[in-house]
Amino acid sequence: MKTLLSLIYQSFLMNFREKIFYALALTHFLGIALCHVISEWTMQNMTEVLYDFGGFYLMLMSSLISIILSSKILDNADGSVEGVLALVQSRSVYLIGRFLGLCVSIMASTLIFLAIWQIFLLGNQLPGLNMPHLLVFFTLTVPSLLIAALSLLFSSFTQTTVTVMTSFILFGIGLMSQTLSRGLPANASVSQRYIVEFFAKFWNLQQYNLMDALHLSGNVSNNLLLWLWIYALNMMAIFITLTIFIFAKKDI
Amino acid sequence: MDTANNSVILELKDLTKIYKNDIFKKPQVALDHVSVQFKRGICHGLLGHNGAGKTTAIKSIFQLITPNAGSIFFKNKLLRKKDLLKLGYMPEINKNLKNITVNEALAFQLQVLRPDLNATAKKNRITALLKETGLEPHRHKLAGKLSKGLGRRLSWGLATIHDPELIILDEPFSGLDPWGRIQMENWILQKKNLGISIILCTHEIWAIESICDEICILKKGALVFPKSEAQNPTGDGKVEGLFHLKLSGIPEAELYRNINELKMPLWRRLTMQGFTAHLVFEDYNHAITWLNWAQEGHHIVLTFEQKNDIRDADLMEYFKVEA
Repeated sequence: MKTLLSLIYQSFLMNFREKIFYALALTHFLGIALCHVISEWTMQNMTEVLYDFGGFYLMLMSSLISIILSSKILDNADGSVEGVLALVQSRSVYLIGRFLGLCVSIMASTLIFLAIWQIFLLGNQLPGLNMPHLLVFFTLTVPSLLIAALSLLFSSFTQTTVTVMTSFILFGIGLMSQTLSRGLPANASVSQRYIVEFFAKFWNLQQYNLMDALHLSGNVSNNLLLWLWIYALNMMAIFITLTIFIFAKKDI
Repeated sequence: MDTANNSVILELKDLTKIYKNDIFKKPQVALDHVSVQFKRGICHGLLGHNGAGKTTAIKSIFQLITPNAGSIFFKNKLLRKKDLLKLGYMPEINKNLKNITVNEALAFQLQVLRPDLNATAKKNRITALLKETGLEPHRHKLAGKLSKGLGRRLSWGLATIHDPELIILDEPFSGLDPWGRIQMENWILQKKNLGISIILCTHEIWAIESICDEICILKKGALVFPKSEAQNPTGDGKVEGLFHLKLSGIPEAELYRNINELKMPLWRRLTMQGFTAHLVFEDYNHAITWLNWAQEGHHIVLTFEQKNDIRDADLMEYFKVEA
């Protein structure tokens, strides 16, 4: 347990010192500033833009960062993975520790984003974020955790470049699967329909974006949030288990 | 080989590793039924040309790769994951994590390898090691920002901070300047003098001569020296007993003066390490002449011993590989 906690902490430190993470923190400011600009241009309500664009922006950026960082976890190009694995912990502990460290980093980054958002809202005399808002915002990070787990699975058997590219493509598919499924033409072939519906059912990342529902009704059902989290955690568990199974037999 | 031998700390038995990564290339034999025993308390040199299988052997020990056949024994029992707690590993190049500081890297190592130590003991150990390796002023630097030499010091620290019983060093002198080499050599000799077993993989012949007590050589994945009895029933013929005499406090110039003025016999090899002169003789009588001279002159004789050695020319033969 001590080893696992050490690995999570170490992974968190390493991720937070990645230059890409600083860039992420900077783009948080830019993202929120962009919302202000969009609101001015489109004459839309500022809060509406924040929830619509800002929510999507958070999900997109977190996912991109998590793909890049998770693809590095098993990348032994600089030999650092070898150095850690030569210690006593089992490979599964290493994998879980690194993955949880990444999850903590993404959550911490979201907290920073939300703090900036809150400051912005309060600074503009707008209503601040409350508990339901925070839950919805943290649900927005689920796609990034899912794609990180999937990216980790790919990196266990392929090269980093392929992992990053495949993960990006699957992330795009996950965002569009629901829309594609709804817009599927009636004359679509059976195989086409199966593929699209499969992704819409099992790989629908847009379902974690509840910002519209939150903005329109001001609340999101706790049952829905719970179901989404349980579903996502199960998916992550499957991906990580598969990764552990493949990585256990891999020569470093 | 007798696995019940208490003088053996690590034994590789029939270790075989074949890489079949590329379906378009023929399988590459990295280790070919390698059987070797590493004795307790001495320094073994593990030598071989590039690609001979040294790193594969080390990676097998640390369970980073799975051998196709063979076994590894630690203190006469099959090597288990928890035995790795007693091993220290200094990899070939600086394979340290880049985004953590020197202090954090050492703390992590202790956290994993010495969970029995309390926080104060860990802190003291880290402070002592930072002082010993000269990393104290760099303790808050990121490991990835260290120079190559400082990185090697950190690697040494990571390999030894938990007081391992066996230290495996893969090219510890690589990338070090002359002063760094001397320091590294001294650290290795200090550990050896404390009775810690060492396996040293290196291409530096001077290091083999001054540090290693025994050597084994791999060529194209097979152990070629020392040869097993089955391979070489009449004896190798290339092994020779050389006489090593270590004297302290004698300048190099005085040794040469003895040859010129007193017509003392010439040594086969002379290595100066600070104030220590390390003379190696092929002939016993030559060695005794020098030993007598040293004793009569009340010079300090550190050691006088006979060690099995291999001729430099023969050693070179093992490094030659057809393209």
